[in-house]
Order: sequence, then structure tokens, then C-alpha cells
Amino acid sequence: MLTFNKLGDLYVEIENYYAKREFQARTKGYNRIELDYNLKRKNNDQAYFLFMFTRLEDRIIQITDQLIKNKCESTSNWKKRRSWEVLNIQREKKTIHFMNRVSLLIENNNNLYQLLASYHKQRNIIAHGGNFTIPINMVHVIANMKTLHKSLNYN
Amino acid sequence: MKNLNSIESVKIEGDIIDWKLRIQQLYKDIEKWISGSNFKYKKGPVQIMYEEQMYQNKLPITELDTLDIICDNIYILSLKPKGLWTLEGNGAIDLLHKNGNYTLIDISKPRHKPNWKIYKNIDEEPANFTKRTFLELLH
Repeated sequence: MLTFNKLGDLYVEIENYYAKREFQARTKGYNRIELDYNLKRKNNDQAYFLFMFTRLEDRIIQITDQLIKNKCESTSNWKKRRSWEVLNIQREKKTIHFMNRVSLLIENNNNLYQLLASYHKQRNIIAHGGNFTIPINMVHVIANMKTLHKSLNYN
Repeated sequence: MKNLNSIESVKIEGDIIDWKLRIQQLYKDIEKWISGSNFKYKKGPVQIMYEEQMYQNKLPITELDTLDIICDNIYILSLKPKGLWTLEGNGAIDLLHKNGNYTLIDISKPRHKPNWKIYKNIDEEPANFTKRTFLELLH
């Protein structure tokens, strides 16, 4: 599986390739070509955003699956275990909403929770082909995703 | 509902005006930073701004200024606004150059004093965008 670092490097390589050509077209006054490369860069932003978010999504699913299983196995008191058992059934049926999984790891009022909520919303817009997608500052997003990927755990 | 929509439209219009002023001020700063040097600035072709909030609130397309930095008739850098309502930040501007792109992101809260950071590389912390960091880009 490609690591976040590798994905980030690939993104930058393509971004700079297109950006160079956009710049060259601008210096020559080739407006249409400039616009064309600008659009390619936007599409590349969206593609890599989606690509990287799915990696993060996988990580969050893995961690929360493990958390739920551990809680079910290690909690002997039924009153404390019952909600985990309900979640475990949902886990087996793969019906836990992504942001509910995030809630198992981060408090809802935490900035990281809000950040993940905004990424998730954007992921859905791109994946389902909305008319507009907001510009993504990938250099910032990649740094945040790397941090999230490293720091998320169930302790 | 109609009133709520018009309140939102007024807010969005205000955000657009604020965005244009922040861009203008940034360009003025840059023009000042390079005055007296071999570098010259030139207004580039205007850029169309039409983002989701404008579409949803039935606001018309508008135009944003771009700026080119030139030295001895050679283009060194082009500043092109990327978007106001961006994922991460309160507006972003592309800084295109012969080897690729740097990104300027205003990390301030909406309607606050701009706080521009320059992102040159994904492995580097962003730097404050100052005369010094700007001139370094040109050399």
C-alpha cells in the first residue's frame, strides 16, 4: 500500500508538472492552454484528496473495529458492555456511519473532529460529482492528513 | 426564508469585497517590496471568480486581478487567486513559477487582518509571507 509520504510526493510531482506548463502558457499569452492546465491542477487536487482520504478512512475503520472488538471482549459487566455489543453488530453489518466512528476516537467539539467532518463532507461532494467543489489547498491538507494518520488511536 | 437568503447574499457579497481588498493590499505590498530593484510588476489578465456560495446565492460572476513579476522581460512569478472559500484557509493564491507552484494561504479568520503563509513544500512548515520571504523566491 502506498504510504502517505509517497502519495504526497506523487501529488507534488504532478502538481508541479502542470503548474510549470500553466506558467509557460501564461508567459506566452496562450490563455486557453493556461486555463486548461489550471483545470488539470484542480482535478489533480481532487483526485489526490480523495485518494488520501480513503487511506485515512481505512485507518479509522481499522482502529474503531479493533476498539469495538476489544471493548466487547474485555468488558465483563453487561451494563457497561451492552452499547459496545450493539456497535459490534453494526460493525459486522458494516452500517456504522463514518463520522460516528470518528466520534469514538475524538470528542465532537475537538478541532480535529471538525477538520475530519469538513474533509468527509468534501470527500462526498467529490465522490458524488457535485457541480462545484471548493478549491483544496493540498499542501496544507497533506500535512494535516499525515498528522491525523499518525495520531489517531483508541487510547 | 427570502429574507434569510438575502442576508446570506449580503454576507457573501461582503466576503467577496473583503477578498478583493486583501488581494489588492497584497499586490500593493509586493509592488512596494520590489520598487527600486530590477524586478518589475505587471497586471496580468483578470481571473473569473465564481464559487459555490456565489452560485447558491445567485450572485454574478466577478473578476479578480492577477499580478506578474518580470525581470529583463522574463517572467519570474505569477500570482493568481485560487479561491476564497477553500478547504483550509481563508483564501488562497497560486504563485506560479518556472519550476512549479507555491501556495499562499491566508490563515486568518474571515474578516480579520490577513495572515499570509507561504507553503513551498509539503515537508516544510509554512513561513510568514514577508518582504524577505518574497524576495527569496525571486532569486
